[in-house]
Amino acid sequence: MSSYILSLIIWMPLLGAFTLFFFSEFQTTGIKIVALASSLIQFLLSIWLVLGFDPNYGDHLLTSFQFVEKFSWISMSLGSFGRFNIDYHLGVDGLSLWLVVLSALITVLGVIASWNLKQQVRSYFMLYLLLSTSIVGCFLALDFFLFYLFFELVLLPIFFLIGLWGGPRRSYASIKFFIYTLVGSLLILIVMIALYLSVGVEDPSSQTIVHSFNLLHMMDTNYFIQGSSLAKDSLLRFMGMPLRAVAFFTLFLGFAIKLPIVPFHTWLPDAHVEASTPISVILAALLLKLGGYGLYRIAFSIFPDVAFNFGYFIAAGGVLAIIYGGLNAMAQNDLKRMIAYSSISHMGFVLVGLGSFTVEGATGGVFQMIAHGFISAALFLIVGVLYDRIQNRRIENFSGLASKLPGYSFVVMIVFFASLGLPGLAGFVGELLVLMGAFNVSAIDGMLPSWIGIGAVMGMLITAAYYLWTIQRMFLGKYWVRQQSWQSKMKDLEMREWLIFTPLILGIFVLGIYPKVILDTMNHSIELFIAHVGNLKIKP
Amino acid sequence: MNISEQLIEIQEHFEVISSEMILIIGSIILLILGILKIHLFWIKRFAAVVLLGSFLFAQEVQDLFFTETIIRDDLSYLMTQLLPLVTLGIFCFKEQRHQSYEFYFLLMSVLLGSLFMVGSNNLLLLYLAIELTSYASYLLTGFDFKEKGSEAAMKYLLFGGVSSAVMLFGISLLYGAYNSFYFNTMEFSVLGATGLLFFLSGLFFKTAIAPFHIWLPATYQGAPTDVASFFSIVPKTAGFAALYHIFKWTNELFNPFLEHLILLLAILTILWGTLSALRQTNVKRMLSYGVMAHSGFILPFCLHMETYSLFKYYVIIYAVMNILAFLFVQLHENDGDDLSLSAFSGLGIKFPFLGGISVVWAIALVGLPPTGGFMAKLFLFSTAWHYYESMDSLFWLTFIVVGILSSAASLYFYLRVPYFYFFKKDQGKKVHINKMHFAIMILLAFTLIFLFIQPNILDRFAPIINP
Amino acid sequence: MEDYLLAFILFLPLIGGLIAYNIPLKSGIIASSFLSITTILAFYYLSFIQETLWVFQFEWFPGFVMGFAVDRPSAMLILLVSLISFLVHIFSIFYLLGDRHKDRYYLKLGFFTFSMLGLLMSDHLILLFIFWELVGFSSYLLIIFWFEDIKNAKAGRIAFMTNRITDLILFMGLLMLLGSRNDGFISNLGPLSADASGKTIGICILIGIIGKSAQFPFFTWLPRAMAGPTPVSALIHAATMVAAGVYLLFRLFAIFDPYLLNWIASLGIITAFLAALIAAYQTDIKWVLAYSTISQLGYMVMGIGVGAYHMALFHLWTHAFFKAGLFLCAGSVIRYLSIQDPVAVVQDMRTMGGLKSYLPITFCSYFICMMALVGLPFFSGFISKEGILVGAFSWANQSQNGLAFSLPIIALGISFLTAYYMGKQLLLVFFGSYRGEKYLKRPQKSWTERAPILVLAILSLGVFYRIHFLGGDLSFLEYWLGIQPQVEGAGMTPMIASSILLVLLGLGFSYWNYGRQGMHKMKSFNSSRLSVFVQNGFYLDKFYMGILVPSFDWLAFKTSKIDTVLINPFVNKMSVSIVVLSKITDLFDKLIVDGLISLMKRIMQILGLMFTKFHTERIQMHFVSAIIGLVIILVWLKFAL
Repeated sequence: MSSYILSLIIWMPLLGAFTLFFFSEFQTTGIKIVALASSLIQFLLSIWLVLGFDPNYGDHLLTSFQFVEKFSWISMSLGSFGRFNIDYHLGVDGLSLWLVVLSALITVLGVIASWNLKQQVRSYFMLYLLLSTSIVGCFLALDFFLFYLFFELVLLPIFFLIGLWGGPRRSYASIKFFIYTLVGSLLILIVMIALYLSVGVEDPSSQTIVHSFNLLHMMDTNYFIQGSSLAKDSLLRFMGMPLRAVAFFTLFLGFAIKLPIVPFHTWLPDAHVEASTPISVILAALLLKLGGYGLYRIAFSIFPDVAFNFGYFIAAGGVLAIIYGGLNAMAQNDLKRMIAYSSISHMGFVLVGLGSFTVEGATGGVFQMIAHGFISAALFLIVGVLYDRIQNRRIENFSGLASKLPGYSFVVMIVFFASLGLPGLAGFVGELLVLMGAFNVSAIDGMLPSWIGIGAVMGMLITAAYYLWTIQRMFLGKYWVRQQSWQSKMKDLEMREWLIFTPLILGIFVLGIYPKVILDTMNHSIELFIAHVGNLKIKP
Repeated sequence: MNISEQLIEIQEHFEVISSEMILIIGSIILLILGILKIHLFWIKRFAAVVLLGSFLFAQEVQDLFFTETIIRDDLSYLMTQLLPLVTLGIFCFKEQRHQSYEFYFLLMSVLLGSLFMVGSNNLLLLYLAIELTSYASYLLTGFDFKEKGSEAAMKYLLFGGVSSAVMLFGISLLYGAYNSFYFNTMEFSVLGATGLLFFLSGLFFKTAIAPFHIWLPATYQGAPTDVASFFSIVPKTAGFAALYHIFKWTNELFNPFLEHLILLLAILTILWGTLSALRQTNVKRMLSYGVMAHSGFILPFCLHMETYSLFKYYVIIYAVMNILAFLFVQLHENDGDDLSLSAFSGLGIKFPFLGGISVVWAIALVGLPPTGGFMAKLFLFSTAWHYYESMDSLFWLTFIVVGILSSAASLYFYLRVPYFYFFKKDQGKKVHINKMHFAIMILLAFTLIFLFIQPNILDRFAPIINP
Repeated sequence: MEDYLLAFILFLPLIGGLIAYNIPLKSGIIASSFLSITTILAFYYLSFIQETLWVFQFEWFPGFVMGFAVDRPSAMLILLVSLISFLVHIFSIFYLLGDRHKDRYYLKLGFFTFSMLGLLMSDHLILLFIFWELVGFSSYLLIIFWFEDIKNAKAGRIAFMTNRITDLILFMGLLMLLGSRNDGFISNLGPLSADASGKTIGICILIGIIGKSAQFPFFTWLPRAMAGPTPVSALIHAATMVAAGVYLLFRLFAIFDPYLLNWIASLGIITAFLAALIAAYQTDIKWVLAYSTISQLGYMVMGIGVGAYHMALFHLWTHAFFKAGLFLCAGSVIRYLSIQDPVAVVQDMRTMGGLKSYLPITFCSYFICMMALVGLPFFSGFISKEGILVGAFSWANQSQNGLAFSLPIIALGISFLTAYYMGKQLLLVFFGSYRGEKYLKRPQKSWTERAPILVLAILSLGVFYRIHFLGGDLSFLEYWLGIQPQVEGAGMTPMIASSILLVLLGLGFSYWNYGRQGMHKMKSFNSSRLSVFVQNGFYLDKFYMGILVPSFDWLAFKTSKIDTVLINPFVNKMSVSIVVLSKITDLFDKLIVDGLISLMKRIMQILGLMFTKFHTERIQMHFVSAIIGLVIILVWLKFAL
């Protein structure tokens, strides 16, 4: 059983989705229960995975994966091109472990958050569960093709979930989202193909080279075929740049669109704003992490030499995102839009952490992703609470909510302050680690100038400014809402909403006070990751 | 070789072309049945049986036959299996009022011509085969006897005539240069090159490669939808297969000029097809531009014989997704419709199943997982990258980049059907589908998805005989 | 044992707050009793710690060890914080009688106490920063306690933002410090390197300190923070939180080089002087105390800068008691008046007067605390203040620069100012007759009001700290702080004498100004009022009034102008410009980034239009285009072969 646990985790929601075929469109409660059950089982399995996880497994990045499942999936003859090999190859390490848990948890909460859905329930939950499968699949795939499959598979459910159950401008938003991310994934596709043809092992029986999509082979320079386009000795150039560098940047761009970084971010505010609450939660808490995870697992692990040379630019891009996102968030009148921009700002820290090439920085990046998973989920749910009640979320339409909705305001305070990086809450730890990495590097080998760290700190300041301002405008002062008809609908959190917020807030506290809980299991893998990167940086 | 020996050889070789023979005999019987006023229901069944027979009797041999006039190899085997099946698929479309026994006869004629096109090693035979497909095609184009169809048929006829003339001129030049009609006797010469170019431009007319494709959208739009679907697959893939055989002998001779030319034309075709499709509101016209872009994708791979398995894979998936797409579109067609996008508005709520199908074919045509369309594109780009890598050729790189960009852009227009289906206001339209269409669409959609999960299944279908 | 003890001390206030939150009716009693346990434990602990330094370390996350450590100075401050917090808890029972949200209040208060205690216990830079931030956050929560008035909300935000700015600069400094060495334990820190990076780190940390301790130019937030309930002001903005900066400075004293310390000293004295000046012109009862606090904090900062850091810490201790006492007295006054006259502007001293007979206990306590603040013998403030003064003088003696003497001299001047404004406040509030409109009734007696005030007043007496009021016997310091004070003994007697003299002078001056005249005239303060005072016959004063007061006045005016003309607008302009900038970037997003996408789309559309054009024209055109294509290929062939 435990040897197939990863497959179980991935396919559990899809199984649930298939079960839904046996329900009619009107058995809404049954449909919801199936969705909840399958996502809950997935979550429990992921917890079991954590319990069985050995934090100190392996002594090299390539051998540090656990619960590995590897089967040959497609082995297709392409005539004189040899065979086309795709493996069903899964594995988990400290880097992906908690992202899996996070996805499973957010999926469960998302089901609860969509409990009141009335129209086309069956299709909604089928798409929703498919989405869950593909997101978790991304985190667990060790075969590039498999990863890409799941990565692309995310697009379709999201496209429809935004486009069918979204807000007034949903079709525009969904198309924009689709086109943006499709361009990103096509960029990844090119590099995937090039990598596939550059990586291979000689089959002793037939004396032919067998290519593969195995990510672990791609991370290991020994597997690159001499003279192939992406080998280290490749002489191929594109616009005067070595092909390896071009490939790295293409990958980087592909994932950066998802992360997103400025100036490839404009899909994000629109998509988030138009999506319904559970979907914005998934978008912010999980989808952005796919970009970050891709950078770790793929772009940086496969091209550490190139990445290392451009650490400065990557971190600078991160700082740009932090400040730009923050400033934009400040200018928004729509609460959801503001939160969407703040996501951009927070994801910038992931890039800074990665660009620092230190254990602290890289750990901080992953931690930031997980912490942001909790915080952004809670943030969008907060908007959802308001929107559910009165279908409005403009900041200037409310004032003094704290006196009318104390429970809600309590949640808001915790989450807002977690997001602005108050120590003791989850948001702080990631930022602290990232900044430690950045300042460490600037102090030790000067790889990153110290203005990177300073800029990131400035970003934290801006974050504080807009959150405090929002709290003051919406929650403090005399109670007032713009329309008389809203008065009767302004009710405090109900049971179901508390049910969603409680685990998130607990998570925010636990991660903020005792980050060791997850960092212990993560640390070894990150050290191996940095060692892998550092190993290649020493060699010319 | 004297006459009697030749006759004996011919007699012996008839076995090799048994599929074609079945088709010939079958279509003649069909004509007779038609004259006898047999009910169309039975004629259709009979035609289907004939097609099935020609599929089953496809011969798995590799050689030159009929005094080197006919070539049999992997490719022709693939085509003799695939094309009858595709035609069978066309039979499953919704029945239109234009259908009569002549219609089936013409379809089978085109199929026959296409099969001969694939199997010819002789310029003259090739020419004859092409003319056979062409004449039947002209008739089929106007087969719903509406003004628009007739106009399209007329246009098609004019273009076809000119292209035939050009092709014939090319053949005469080639004959002048080599004193032979056989591909395998060619050598390098400027005259030969010129002749080849004329000949190729004729073929490009038929396969709608830019800038010789101008007839295509009007013809597809004007023709009945089942016919358009048929055109988009059968004569087209046959044309590519013919190109394969031509390039097999000529690519070496005119390297790298030919390669560059073909790549350039392919890029032009992709661009032209994609960009024109972007603004179409008529679905058939949009699909026809998409078909054109797909031709651009596959064209460069005709140059290299070793890409056969790619070609096989691409063509099969292309056939499946095109049948599905056209079938889907046809089901929405009522008499007098021009099938603009608005005809699909808001149907997704009422017919979620059809909506799902539209998503499947749309993403397959774009080339997204989890459909065979993705696998096809993946193999295609992998092979292209291999050529770029081994030749360090800017043309191949440009091809890859243009191909990728066009895939992204094609999302925009292919997805408009599901987009209208789900996201637009309902306009009260209805779709009538019977159980068979339902089953066929499920079958095709699952085939597309299955071909993604297990593409190696195709190794069993028309395998490489001589690896 | 110690672990548990410390953990109890640290967490009891928080737990008490949480329990109090859940039992709203009894919240005050519950929270206070928890605090009383904390205080008793802290007392017990203080005797316990005498010899040993208590250390507790833990791994926060892999490879990152943080820790708590308590030595005698911090243990002393832990006692101070828990004691004052306890008293404030008690006083709050009286002060918030009838408020609907008491439960929330005690939670916040408990949380604050917890954070402050954590700050004092932590021995790691990052851990310290964590509590540092939590202290700021909880003070924000307390300031906005009455959030329904938007003014309070604004005040809280501005206070928190100012803190946040300087905190983040401090954070940068700490991170750079951490980056340049391997461990961040405060007890292990060596001096900063003398190069530019060391200087940067020092300046960053310094900015953090002056922000938290409300030093020039960051002091404007403190008066604003007075928007919170008055007991909160007593706890946070007089006794504990603002002292955190001084505490950190004391802790990090070892890492600063003398050059930076000189700057710190100058900054401290400038702040002390300006704040005192401003305090002299305030009319709000709490604002006077707020500026006075700033002034006293400046004093402490100066004390550390000149090297008398133990004395500064001692002043922190004594100041905490008397200033908390003063604030609680002010709270008592405000509460009394607001019950009597709910609509009046209850904090304006011009509308008070004659409260001595209505609030006798408050008056007595106020008097004692005020005497301690101005620094008269027999009161605690005297001892600590003179200690700092002595330190400043001996520092000036040792330094080569003659300019150094300006520091102790200004400090002496501040003694005068302090006495002046405190005397004025005493006179305006308690003496004379009531200037408000309502008739005043006798207040109800409440021990929760009187006990904390009295305790604080008693603790402000000098006897607890030293037997001889002028001598060098600093037994308290020796015992509690474990230090050997360097007192220069008799050489300093003239200085001490002049200090006492100046204080008396200040008190006298205030009496001349506000005591002699009929209180009914006290509707406003302006220079013309002062010139009337001069005309009344003090010829020596006439000289002061003719030359000093106008310049004094001018200076005070200008100084307050720094607030209103320079700093506030600057902050406003900054925030406005940031908003404008963010609007611009938003527009950039909409116009340029999105615009590019739209442009691409447009180009695509135009291209598409061009290509579709091809197909709609006459059929001959199609032939022509195809033939042209063929010709081009043929021409290419000619060149290619």
